Amino acid sequence: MPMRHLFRNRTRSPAWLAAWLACAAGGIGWLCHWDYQAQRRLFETDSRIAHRLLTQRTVQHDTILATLAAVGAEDARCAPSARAQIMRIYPQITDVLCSRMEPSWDENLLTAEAASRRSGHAQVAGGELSRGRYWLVQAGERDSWALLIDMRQMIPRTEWPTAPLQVQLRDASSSMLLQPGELTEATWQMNFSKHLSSGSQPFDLLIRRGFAWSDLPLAAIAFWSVLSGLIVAAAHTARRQAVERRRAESLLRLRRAERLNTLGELSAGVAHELNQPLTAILANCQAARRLLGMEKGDVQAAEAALGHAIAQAKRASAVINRLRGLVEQRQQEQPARPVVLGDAVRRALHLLEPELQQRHTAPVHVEESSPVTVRADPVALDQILHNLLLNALQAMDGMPVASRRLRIQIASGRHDAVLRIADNGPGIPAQALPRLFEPFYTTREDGLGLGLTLCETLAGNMGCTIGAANGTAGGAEFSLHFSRMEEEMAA
Amino acid sequence: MSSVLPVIYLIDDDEAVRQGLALLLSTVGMQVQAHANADSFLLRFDPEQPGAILLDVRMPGGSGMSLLDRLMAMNVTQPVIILTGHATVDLCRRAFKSGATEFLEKPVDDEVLIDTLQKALKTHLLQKSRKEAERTAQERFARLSAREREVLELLVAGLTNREIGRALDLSPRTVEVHRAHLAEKLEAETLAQLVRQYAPLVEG
Repeated sequence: MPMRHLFRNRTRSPAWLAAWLACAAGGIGWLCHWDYQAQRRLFETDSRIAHRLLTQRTVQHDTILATLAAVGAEDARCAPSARAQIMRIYPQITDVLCSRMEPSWDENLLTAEAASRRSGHAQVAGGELSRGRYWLVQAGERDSWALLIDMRQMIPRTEWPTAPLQVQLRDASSSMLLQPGELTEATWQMNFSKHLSSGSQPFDLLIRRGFAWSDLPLAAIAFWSVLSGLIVAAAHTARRQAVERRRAESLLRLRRAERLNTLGELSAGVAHELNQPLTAILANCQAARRLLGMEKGDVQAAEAALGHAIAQAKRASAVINRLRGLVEQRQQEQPARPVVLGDAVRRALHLLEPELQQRHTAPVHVEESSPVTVRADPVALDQILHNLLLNALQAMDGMPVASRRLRIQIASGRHDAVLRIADNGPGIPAQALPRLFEPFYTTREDGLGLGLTLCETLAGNMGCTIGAANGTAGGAEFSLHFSRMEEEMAA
Repeated sequence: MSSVLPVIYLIDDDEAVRQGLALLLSTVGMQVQAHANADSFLLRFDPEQPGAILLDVRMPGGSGMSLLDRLMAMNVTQPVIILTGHATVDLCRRAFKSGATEFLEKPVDDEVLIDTLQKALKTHLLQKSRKEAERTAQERFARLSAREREVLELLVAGLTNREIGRALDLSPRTVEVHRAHLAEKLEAETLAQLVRQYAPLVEG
């Protein structure tokens, strides 16, 4: 666990935070851009609708004036019923005048009438747009007509866009706000400007739409921020796990190499330490034989040589004892304690995961009727299981992948428990069976012949016996027998 | 100080090994001079003394390999036999490359050790005597006068006294005198001996 802790501290969170910020900002930027473009298109559609409707109105005014000119004034009162009807139908037309109606037909209207006569179409009289209304005058052959138009009423409510647009009409000198819109809180503005397609009422139409912070797609932004955060966090976790796994694997490899190196160093050291006395023993013994074999056998010298040989034999023995003491000191035995066999096997299998994957061996099922508890040194048990399982896997290397079977069985009797590990490899050769646990005896080319010896020693230390046999259906089967005490039966 | 008997220089840091091997070699009449380290060996080593060097390569205070390199740099003619407790292919290759004559593994069998040493000594002594003979011949050859060298040259080529006299414009009698002188100076008793020993010098 301390390693895991250390590792976590080493992860570079700021980099991942920056990655998330970049990812979120990129997504938000795109969302805003996309949303703004959509709003922009909507605004332009709305503006074109408004432009078309207002143009229609101006054309309508021209048509009314043309009709009136054609009808003419019936009398000095200038067809009062017709005028009243027009004002009822068209709410924006607040007054209708004819040139016979003096003094209402004032100077202003006369000027416009003259202009209309020159141009041949209706003319706006005077510049009074800022007051929200204007006169439209059409000169006729007999009578001239004028309409007073309330600009605020020009908007046809039924077809008008619902968006909060600011709509303005302008001529050369003044302007009139038809609809105020909502511009005060806006951060950005969208503008639309177009001339009304009317000869008689040549106004400029100016439409504005405000775009505030609150118009941004806030829900989508929030959703994307959370989502990108989750994605980055997931990537981070996946990466960390991958790194951790690689690290664990390399540690495993490292430890294995280290063990071999230590073994190499140790054997070189032992070889030197033992070769010196052995050389002396051999030389002295052979010298003694030669001395005794001479015609005039020098018994005294031979005796002295043998004395040297004996002393050197004792020296060799001391070297071995010292070495054993050194090794035993390092491997301090842990006291035995209750261990659930199934758990120990699963732990060993977990450690062997890379080997299993490398050999494409299917996940191994542990057959156990109920959890079996035995007294064992957990570290030693782990070591034994690791060795036995690895042996079983290696024994099946020559088999086709699909037919490799590793069986692990845990059974318990009244006074004992047995763990069996069986493979379906080639099995153990008959001549190898009695020598299997001897040190330096191996059937593998690259084996040291120490693995099973170590297993037997470790098993013996905790009062457990290890056995090897060939299964009835082929393959090797190793078994571990544990005797169970009364206290464990109760446990 | 050189003695006629060859000396085996044994260099090993282990006292017991020195004692055992020295005893073993003494049983076949070999003279052994044992040393615990390279320095004590170099102090007493006589390059003129015929013998062989038996060297352990794993020693404290400068390994045997560096001593081997030093001996080779000194142009030592004695054969060096490496003795080691942990032979590796690498070490073996290095030893032979550095000029070792033989490579033995500890513990070493008496037959093998004695046989190896005897063979090495034999080769060494043979080379040594051959070199000595060569040197004596050169020394004697240097004593000849120019005329005597000319006469020797023609003698080696197989000419008779008369023919030599004609070739060098001398009377056969004078040739005979030169011939007697050079035979005396070269310490050769027969013509065959003269030709065998001095033909290479004349031609070279």
